[in-house]
Amino acid sequence: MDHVIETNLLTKAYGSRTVVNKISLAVPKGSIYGFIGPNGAGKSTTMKLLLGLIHPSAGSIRLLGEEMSQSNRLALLRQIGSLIESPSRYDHLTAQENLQIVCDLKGVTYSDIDRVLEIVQLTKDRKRKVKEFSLGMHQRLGIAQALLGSPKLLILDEPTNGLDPAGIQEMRSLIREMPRLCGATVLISSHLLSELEQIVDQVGIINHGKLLFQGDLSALQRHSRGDYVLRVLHPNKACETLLSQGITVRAKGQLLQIPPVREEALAALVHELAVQDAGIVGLTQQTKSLEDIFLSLTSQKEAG
Amino acid sequence: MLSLFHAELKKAHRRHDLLIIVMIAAAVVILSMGNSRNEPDTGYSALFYAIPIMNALILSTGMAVLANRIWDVETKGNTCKLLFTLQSRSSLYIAKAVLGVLEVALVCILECLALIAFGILKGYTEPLDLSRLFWLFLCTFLVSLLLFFFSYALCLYFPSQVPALAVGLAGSLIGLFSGFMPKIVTYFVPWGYFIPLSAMEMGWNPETRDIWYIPQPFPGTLLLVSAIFIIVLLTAGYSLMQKKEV
Repeated sequence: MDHVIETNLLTKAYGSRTVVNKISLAVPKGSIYGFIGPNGAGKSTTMKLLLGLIHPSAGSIRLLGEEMSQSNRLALLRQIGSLIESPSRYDHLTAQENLQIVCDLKGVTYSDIDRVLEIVQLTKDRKRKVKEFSLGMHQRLGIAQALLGSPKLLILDEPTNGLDPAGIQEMRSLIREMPRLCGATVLISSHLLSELEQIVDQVGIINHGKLLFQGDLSALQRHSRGDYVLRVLHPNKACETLLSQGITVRAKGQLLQIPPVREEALAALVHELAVQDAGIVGLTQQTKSLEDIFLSLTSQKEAG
Repeated sequence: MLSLFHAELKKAHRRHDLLIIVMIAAAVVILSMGNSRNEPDTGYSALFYAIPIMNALILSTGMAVLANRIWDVETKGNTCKLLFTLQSRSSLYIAKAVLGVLEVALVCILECLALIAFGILKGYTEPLDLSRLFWLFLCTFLVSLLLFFFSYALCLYFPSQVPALAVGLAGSLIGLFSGFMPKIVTYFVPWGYFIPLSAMEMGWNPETRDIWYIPQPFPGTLLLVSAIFIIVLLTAGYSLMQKKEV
């Protein structure tokens, strides 16, 4: 089993409105897969489809190597932990009692509670009523519920929603550690792109219900390379050389910005600049943030 | 299924359901005592007559409160999206229904026990007719179940818990007043079914102000109608649970 989640042309429509449009997700085993899109893009609906909380209009879902159907849905989902939007909780009960209920339903022994409380650092608050918890503690309790029974896959829908910066940092560290601590593959959604950039190794970008990109984070960054920036001692000479080679240049003092070119062409350009004595001091490539890539991808597809 | 029911019991922990159950039963019996003549030779008959009237007033709201508390924890805690990944919708519905049935049964048992206790404490000389006591229990239980499942279905249908409570409150008043309407009217008001299902009718002479109690024939037809209503409401609730949006 190479992929823990595979969907084939998964579609969900409410009347004439298609919320998820022929999505074919492939989440590799052991990865942290970032599912990114603006609000209303179809992330939560896709995750609810994966958890069988809503029925697809078309397409199929394979989880942990098995085709999901009504008959095996619960058996598959017992191997999966989930946190969809805000965490589910019983405010009048303690953290431990909340987890005991999930243990009862998952068929997991209560001894697993110690392990998950340790992971989410709620051990000393286990006997406090959940209504006394902060938002960050609620989120961590939600993660603890998801971790009970050592799931093979975690599906987390915007787990940092509503958290303060410290809480976001804390949650980010916790999720980054998941594959190491529990051996679980993680599918995590967010519209806070900068947040996911630091923890995911696989990315899927969704907008208006369509999957715009899917693959390695590094491939996405390669796919959307930024401009090269040259720092030269003699900008005029350098500009003349570059223009003579048919390269468009944006100059700002000693800094010249040129669009991405193939590596062989870049090597030839550098050689030519050296021959013309342009005085090359430095050459860097701008890397687009995931945010920029996302915006360019979504705007490209929308324009197309 | 046992572990699912165990989970329901865990959710009920610190919810004070037991206190509410005792309060409901106590309210019915205390109000019945206060509103009936405590003559030792007709004491039990007076209670068999008064308790169904107070049931109509108290239990309509009481059942709405019980149903509400059982479902409200899921609404408040936003738990359906977690529960539906761990258990089938039908198992959740059934586990809650079983807990509800037990709670309703406890209310009815406490009412009957309180009736016996009051009889002993007040030194009633009238012999306790156990068949009438069982009749009271059976009718109170079935009508309460009907009202419980109606409220449970309303809780599932509306995202807010207010409609079920409001209907329960209104049902209390409508049910009570239906008892003073012609008998045919009472058949159309399920909240007031306690009264036509009563084991005793009261007769009185306005001139001498004498009161006497008339044993009633067993109301098999209305009891059957109540049972059919329960099955319909159970099915409707089950269907609502299957369609519940997450």
